[in-house]
This record gives sequence, structure tokens and C-alpha cells, in this order.
Amino acid sequence: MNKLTKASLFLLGFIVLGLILNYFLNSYIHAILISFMINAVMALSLNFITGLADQFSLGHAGLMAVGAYTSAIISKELLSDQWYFIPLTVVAAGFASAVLGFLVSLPSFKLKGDYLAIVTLGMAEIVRVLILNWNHVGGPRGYNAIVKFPGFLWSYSFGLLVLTITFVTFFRLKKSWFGRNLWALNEDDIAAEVMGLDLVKAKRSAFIISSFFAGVGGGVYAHHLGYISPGSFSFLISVQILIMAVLGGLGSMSGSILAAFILTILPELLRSLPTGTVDIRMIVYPVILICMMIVRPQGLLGRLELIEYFRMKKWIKS
Amino acid sequence: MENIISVKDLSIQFGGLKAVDQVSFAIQKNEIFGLIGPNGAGKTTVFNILSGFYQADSGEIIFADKNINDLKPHAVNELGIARTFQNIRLFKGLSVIENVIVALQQREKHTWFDSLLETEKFYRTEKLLYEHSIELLKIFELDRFKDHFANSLPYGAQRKLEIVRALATKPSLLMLDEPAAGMNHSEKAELNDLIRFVKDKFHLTILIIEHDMKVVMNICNRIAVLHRGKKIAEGIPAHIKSSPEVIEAYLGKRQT
Amino acid sequence: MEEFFQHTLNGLSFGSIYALVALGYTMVYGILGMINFAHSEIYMMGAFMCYYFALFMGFSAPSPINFTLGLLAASLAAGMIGYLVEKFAYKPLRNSPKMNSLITAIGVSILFQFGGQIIFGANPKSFPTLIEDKNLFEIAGSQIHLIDLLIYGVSALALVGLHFVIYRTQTGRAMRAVSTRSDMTPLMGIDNNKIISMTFIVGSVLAGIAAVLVSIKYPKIDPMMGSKIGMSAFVAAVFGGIGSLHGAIIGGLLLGVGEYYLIGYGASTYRDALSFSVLIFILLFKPTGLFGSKMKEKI
Repeated sequence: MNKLTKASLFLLGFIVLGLILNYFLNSYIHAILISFMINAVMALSLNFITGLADQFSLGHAGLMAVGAYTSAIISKELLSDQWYFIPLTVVAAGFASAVLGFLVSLPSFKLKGDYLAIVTLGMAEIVRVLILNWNHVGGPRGYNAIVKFPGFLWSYSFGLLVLTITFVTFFRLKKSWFGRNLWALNEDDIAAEVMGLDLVKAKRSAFIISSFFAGVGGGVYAHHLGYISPGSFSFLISVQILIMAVLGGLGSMSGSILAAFILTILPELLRSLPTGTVDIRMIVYPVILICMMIVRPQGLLGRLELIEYFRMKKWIKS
Repeated sequence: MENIISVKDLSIQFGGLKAVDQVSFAIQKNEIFGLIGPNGAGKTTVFNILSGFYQADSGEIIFADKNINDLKPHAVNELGIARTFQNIRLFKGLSVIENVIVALQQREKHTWFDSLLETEKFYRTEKLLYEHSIELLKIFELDRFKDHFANSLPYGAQRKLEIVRALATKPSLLMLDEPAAGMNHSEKAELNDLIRFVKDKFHLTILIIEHDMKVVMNICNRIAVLHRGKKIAEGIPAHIKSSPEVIEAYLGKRQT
Repeated sequence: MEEFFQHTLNGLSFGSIYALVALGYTMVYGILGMINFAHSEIYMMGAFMCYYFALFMGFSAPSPINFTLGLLAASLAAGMIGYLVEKFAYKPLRNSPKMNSLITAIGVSILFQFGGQIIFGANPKSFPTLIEDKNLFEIAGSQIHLIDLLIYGVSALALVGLHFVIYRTQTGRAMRAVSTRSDMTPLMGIDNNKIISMTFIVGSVLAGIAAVLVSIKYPKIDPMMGSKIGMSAFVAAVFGGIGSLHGAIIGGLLLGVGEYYLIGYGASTYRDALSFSVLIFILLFKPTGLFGSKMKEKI
């Protein structure tokens, strides 16, 4: 079965799935599904820089915010709310975040240490404060009436397209020479340098690519919810994305998708618990995080991809 | 005979300690040059400066007619200097062949485009990388270990692999940091042959730090001796062996 | 001009708080190489433990005794919580990659924030008046309040105490040794675990003191109060050079004063962004901060 046939079959499968979901489930579940896709894109983006390149980023909410606001502004101001331009605005969102990522990467990789964590933390905070004070986009009240896709099938298809592109990109990069460079950098950066690997360039590239997709995620988010505010991009969001990446396994792309799925569904199940006004997720998530770090820090799949994981299990059993 | 690298008045200080003090030497093309001295003499520090990890406080390094003082390690390697480490820095979690591939691929031009779309060119390049790595491993009889984890190899093989990896970056100057450490007698003899073989086959110049006198005296064309950061002697092995300064540095002053 | 002086005084007052909290971050980073995200929550717990202590003791009228007891209660509670967090959440990860500790620290921080909201209630509480404020005297047109003097005084005392511990006691010497070569210290008969615990306790005690000092000036406390000051204090620590005690103190003071100038001269909504902008600026030009040093890795 060659590649084209495989791809076509997958495509067919997802179209059929989409049709089924559209007719048999309600809009509440539709929304959750799109949410899952957005979360998966964000988790993949973070996993690439934090899991593969081993550079801790705490500011992905900030990158997401830049993407969301960029695409929203373009939709509203430049393209007069036409929904068929949404993909364009999402791509623009990616580029905007990539530029921010580039700027952030300039001071962050000069020295060894957790500088990226600190700088991204600061970046996200600065972005949030700037948006909060920018009345043109609503300031603290948020940016409203952003155009959405005219129906579940459209947003489902678009979301799926974005998720697939994101996943395939990261998956193939991981397999390629770039992924090997990142692994070498992780294993022993001094040895890697001595073989001609430009560490700073590699880390920067990884971060810029990661930022691009974080922006894309933000763009999709803006057009899914139709409303964005600085509050939607707080540090806690960065942490939630981190939890997904960690749960799936830092370094495993398919793991991030799995974890995004689990952690998008889980809160819906927890909704029924009585905790007053406090979001119970904020208790469950940290507990998961802490326990995992102590008991199973590699998360579900570690660095392996789903397919490698099954192969390994088969090999161990034999 | 032209010099491939010349070091002039190299100095570096750490806090109050002058680790390398006005060291000068020049290595000729295709020779094997030894750098010896008691522990703490500054030999590895010189290596670290030459390979770009430390910036010397003063002095200059001319390699292939270029001043390489301020170059970062990867740039130094791109110019043609490769090195190994005292305590073997292999990529432990990678297989033997992956270790070589990572080194080889630094010289290949890949594009993002080809990797993302997995074009014909991508598959060709990957195949070539793989085949070249096998060829290289074959020369050193390590190809049968190609899929083993690098750190599962016997010690001597690990050292060999580190050298293979360094060679994959196509250097003109190869710097070996105590390659005989931890080896037994027969392994050391093998090492001598290996170094000579590598030098001839790959047309290299070799700079070697070594403590084992049998290895040093056997293969080096010339030797420089460091003591407490300063160069105290330089010359052919016979000369060094009988030099009173060198003996004193190693054994202390003769009590009469 | 007198406005400037007023802002400077306020800034120094806040800056000393930043300094006290920043020390906790810097000490833990110096000795373990990790950013203790949960430190700000230990600060918060200091305030709350003092609150409940005052309630339990039935403090009604403000008095110096109440103040001192409250301070002690907060210090003790904070110190103990810091010790427990280290013991149960960080110690198991000491041999794991650094990122794991960072992630755990974030988890602990969030757990305390939201757990605090559930246990204490999310609404701000009124911190008891432990000591009565008085307008003491005037310098250059600014009123000097007793509370501000207390803040300066207690902070200064705490810093002197810290200096004494670090530079004049055996434990302090051991702490300095462990933060430079923790691989060698066991060979000198130093129990690394004890020293690391000690570091956490000392940092947490300082945070507890800072919390009480802040709460007597701004008596609204809530479970999220740690995160705002935590970020600024952390920035101060990095600004001063993470790992450097003097850096943390100077960084804290400078940042406090800087923020107050912003507030005073009208740009208060950008206050939160100031600290981070300063940070990024510093990282661009002097990444090791004011007093930090580049650690040369042994190759």
C-alpha cells in the first residue's frame, strides 16, 4: 500500500467520522472536539521545544495570544469578517507568533541554563499586559464577534487539517536530520558542538517553528470561540499545555495528541463534582503533574511514538 | 614543511590560577605531535581553547592561515579540527551507527523542505548517510555493532567509535585527548597502529595528549611538555626523554 | 521633589520585601540549580498562618507583642511548610533532570494557590491589625509611618541575621560549600540533605517574615497574593544575579523603587510588565545579572 493510498484512506476515514459526528452528536460535543484539536496543536508545539529540544518554555500562552489576536484583528479589520479567509488569518497568526518567537530566541540561548523559561515567562506576561491595555482590541473586556465557520463540518475539517499538518510536520522533523541534531544536543551538547552542530541555531530554529504552530493554535482558537480576552491566555494556560505535553511524554508527538484528548475529555467528566466556584481542574492537574514527575516522569509514551511503542511491546513479549 | 596550526603565547587564567601561560608551538602537516606533562599542567585546557570552548585571555591561534581565537566550537570543527575527550563523550542513548550519522550529517546539506515532504532527495540523502556510515564503521571493524547502543560496547571499541565519529567530520587536524586511558597493554599497541593507520588513510595531522610514555614515545614525531601551564621543553622523543627539565617536572628534583 | 522622596521611600519599603522573598529564590537556585516556583506560595502561607494564629490566640488589640508573636508564627509555619515541600516533592527528584523539578515546583505552586482557595476561601480576608500605625515624623515633606519603619527595621534585622548565619556559622559555611561543589561536600563530612533542607527553611522563614510585613501595610490577603509578588521577586533575583545573595537584595530594592516610580508617575498599569521588561533587557546585555558569575563547565 503506497503512501498516497494510505493517505487517501485516512482522509476518507476522517470524512466519514466527521459526517457521523455531525449527525449523531450535539453541538456541545462538537465544541469539545474542536477544543481537543486546538489543545493538541498547542501541546505538540510545546512538546517540540520542551520535549525534543529540551528547552523549557513557560510562555506558550503568550504565543497563542499573539496568534489569536493577530488572526482576529486581520479577520475583523482587514478582511471584513469573511469566514472563508479564516485559514489565511490563521497562517498569518502563525507568522506573527514566529516573529515573536524569533525575538524571544535572541537572548535566550546565548548561555546555558533555564533562560528560555524565564524569558518566555516574561514574554507571556508582557504580551498579556500589553493586550490588557490596548483598548482597540477591547482591553480587559476582550475582543468580540470574531467570525466563525458556518457549521461543524467546516470547523471540524479545518481543525483536522491544521492538526494533521502540525502533527506531520513535527513528526517528520523529529525523524529527520533536524530531529537527530536535537537528540544529539540533548544527549551531550558538548560532543554535538565539537562535531560542527551549531547549538544556538538549532535551538532557535526549534523555538521559531514551535512558536509558529502555537500562533496557529491561537488563530484557530479565536475563530472557534468567536471571543478572546487577555484572561484566556494566562500563565495557567501555559501550565495546562505543559501538563498535556508532559502527560503524553516529553518527546512523543503522538503522546501529545493522546494526552490532549484525555485532558480535554477529563474535565467534562469532572464538571459534575461540587466544588463551588473553584475549578477542580486546578487541583487535579497539579496533583497529576506532581505524581507523574515522581512516579512516571516519562509520561505515557516517553520519547516513543505510538507505533514504536507497540512494536516495542511486541518485541518484549516475543 | 608548512605548519597546519601555530599557537603563539597562548594564555588563560581562571580566577587567580594561570592555567596556561604563554604557550607557543607549531604543528607541521602530517606529523603526530604529542602534548605531555604532569597532571594539571594545562594540556586539556589547551585543547579546550583550541577547540573553541574557552576563549584565551591572550595569544593567538592560526589554523590554515586563519586566526581562530574567537570561533565557537562548531565553527572550529567546520574549519577542520576535530577532537575526542578524555572521558569519552559518546551519545549514549543512540546506537553506534546513529552516533556516526549525526557526525556525518553535519557536513551534508539538507533542507527543511525535503524532510517535511519526504521527497526523493530526502530518501536518497538518508540512504547515502547510512551507507557512508557503514563504510566508515567497516574500516574500523565496528560495523557489526552498528545497531547496539553506544555505551554497550567494550571500552576499547567505544574509544574507537569516538575517533570514527571525529573522522566523520572530515577534519584535517585530529586532536586526541588521552586515547590510551584505561587500556591494557595489547590495546595500547593496537592503538598505536590505529593512530598511524588513521593518519595515513585520512591524510591527517594529529595532536595527542597522552600520559602513557610508551604510546607517546612510540608514535610522536615531536613532543611539547607542559608543566604548571608553561611549556618547558619541545623536541623529538629522544631529546624529551633525556631532558633534565622534563624529568624534574615528573619526578621532582634529584636529591643528591 | 518631595514626591520623588515619597516614592523612593515607598519603593524601598516594597523593595525590602522583594529582597526578602528574592533571597529564597536565589538561595535555592544557588544550591540546587532549580527555580522554586512554589516559593511564592510559601510566602502566602506565611500570611495565612499568621492570620489563623491571630484568630486562634484571640488577638484583639494591636500591640508590639502581638506583632512579634505573629511574626514568629509566620516564620515558623513558613519554614516548616518549606521544609515539607522540599522533603516530599523535590527530594525524590534530586537525581532526575532539572526540568522535572521545575515542573513539580509549578505543580506545587498551583496546588497551593487553588487548594488555598478551597480551604481558605477565594475571597480576600482582612489581616488583623497586629500593630497600630502612627505618623511618626516628617522628612522632606513626607510622612514617615511606624509601619514603614517597622518594615525597614525588621527586614534589615532579618538580613543581618541571614548574613550572620551564612558567613559566621558552620551551617552557613556548609551551605556555601554545597552550593559550589555538592559533589565534594559529603567527603568533608557535610550531610547535603540536611544543608539543602536548611536552605529551604531559611528561605521560607524570610518569606514568612516578608508576608507579615506586607500584610500589616496592605491588610488584604488572599490565596493568590503570592503569585504577583513571586514573579517580581524572582525577577529581582535574576536581575541581581541568580545565586548571589547580595544580588537578590540589591535587585529587590532597585526593582521596588523602580516599580514605585512607575506607579507614582502614572504608568501603573504597566507595572507588571516593568519587571519582566527589565529582566529581558538584562538577559540581553548581562545575562548573569548584576552580581552573577558565569559558571565554567568542566569539559
